[in-house]
Amino acid sequence: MTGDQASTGSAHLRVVPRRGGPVGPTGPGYGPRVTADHGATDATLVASLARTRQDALAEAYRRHAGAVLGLARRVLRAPPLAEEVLQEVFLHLWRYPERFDPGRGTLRAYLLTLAHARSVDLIRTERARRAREERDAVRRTPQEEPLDERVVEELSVGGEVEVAMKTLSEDERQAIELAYFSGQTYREVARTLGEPEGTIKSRIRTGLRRMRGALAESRIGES
Amino acid sequence: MNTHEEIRELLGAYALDAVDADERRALEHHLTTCDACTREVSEHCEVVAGLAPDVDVAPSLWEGIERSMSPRPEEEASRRPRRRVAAALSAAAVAALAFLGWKVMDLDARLDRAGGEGVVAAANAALTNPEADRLVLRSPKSTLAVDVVILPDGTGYLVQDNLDPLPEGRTYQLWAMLGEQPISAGTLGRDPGIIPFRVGSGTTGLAVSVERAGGATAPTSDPVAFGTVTLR
Repeated sequence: MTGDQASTGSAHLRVVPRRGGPVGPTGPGYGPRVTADHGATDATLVASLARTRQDALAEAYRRHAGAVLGLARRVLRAPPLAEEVLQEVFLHLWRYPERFDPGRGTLRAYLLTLAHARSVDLIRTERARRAREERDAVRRTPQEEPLDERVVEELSVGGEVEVAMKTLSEDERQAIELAYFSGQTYREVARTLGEPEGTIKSRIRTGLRRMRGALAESRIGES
Repeated sequence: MNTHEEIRELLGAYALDAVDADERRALEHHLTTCDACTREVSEHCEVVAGLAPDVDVAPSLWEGIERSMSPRPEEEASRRPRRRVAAALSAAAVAALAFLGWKVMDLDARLDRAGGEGVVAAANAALTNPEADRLVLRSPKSTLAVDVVILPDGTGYLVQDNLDPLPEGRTYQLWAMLGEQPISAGTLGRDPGIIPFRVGSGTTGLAVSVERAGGATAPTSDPVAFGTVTLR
């Protein structure tokens, strides 16, 4: 956040709220009775606080919007919906910043968790809607691709995660990628792959733990 | 899902949002009291964060967010009077409203917006039903208010409000909050009269937002009015 935010309210006034007129960069009204000195100072201070918060959100956006949008697109395969998810995630951060707990993990992971959950929610709502329509339809021709056609594509990710993924067995990698990117539950993945549910649950968990180990090791190696 | 081990087996899938709704609820309940499992889920989320593809983002998308960051300034500091009430409210219903301190400002009937006499009659009955909850959804500064009545079975009626009529292409929409999750309870139109709706058990709040005509699958902006609900 830039230094001139901490102004004393004299020279760098961004805005001077006028009675009855549009107020500040962020609203809301500062109240109709504003004395010449304190009012202007308070108003500027509050405006600065708001500006600082906005700058902070803008910085979070610069760092993480690409990943949030990329993930939403990959899961939803519908760019307009993915853009909505992007907006929802950052507005959620704006409105409820206290819900991010830095002790629990990185901001990036938090935002991606929000994005993923929302994207999967949209997929499942849409699938349920289509399933209902299909049940009601006179013609029984299915309109959507059957679940088992959501084959696992070659996932190109860079860096340490790629290395970590290589430590997995093919089964583990496939289970994780299907579960994460297709919006299917582990039960649906099991059906898709023709495997028992317990096996898929286990492959996902074991694979994730193996990746965590590999990532931790590679970081120790770097330091 | 009983044992702790059974729960642990699901933590990976849970972190990937790959469990069904019942499992998710049970896991979330468990996580409120189990630090070890919560830590494991966080670790899994950190790992998968690396799998997200990074893409370029068009600058126009930030503008949409920026616009939504600024709350609309409230136009009046004081509470505005409700502007419409269906006059076909029965005397008993009016008495019920007055008892709660609601001001009945205008007794002109708005039957066309109320969706017909059947709805008005049902709303009357609800208002005079001792089992019903009556609540007011308010905007953050309490200048806007929506009066609502809900019966124990979840049927409800928006009875009066002082919401601004919306321009063409927009509609008010009602949301039932299940915790943080908003579920649409229907659109209310540009200028709501008496509107029936239905909410399910587990509803903890009601909110009204402005959406594009036709409604939305999820709220696209802050609610204009909201309130909490305790369905008996």
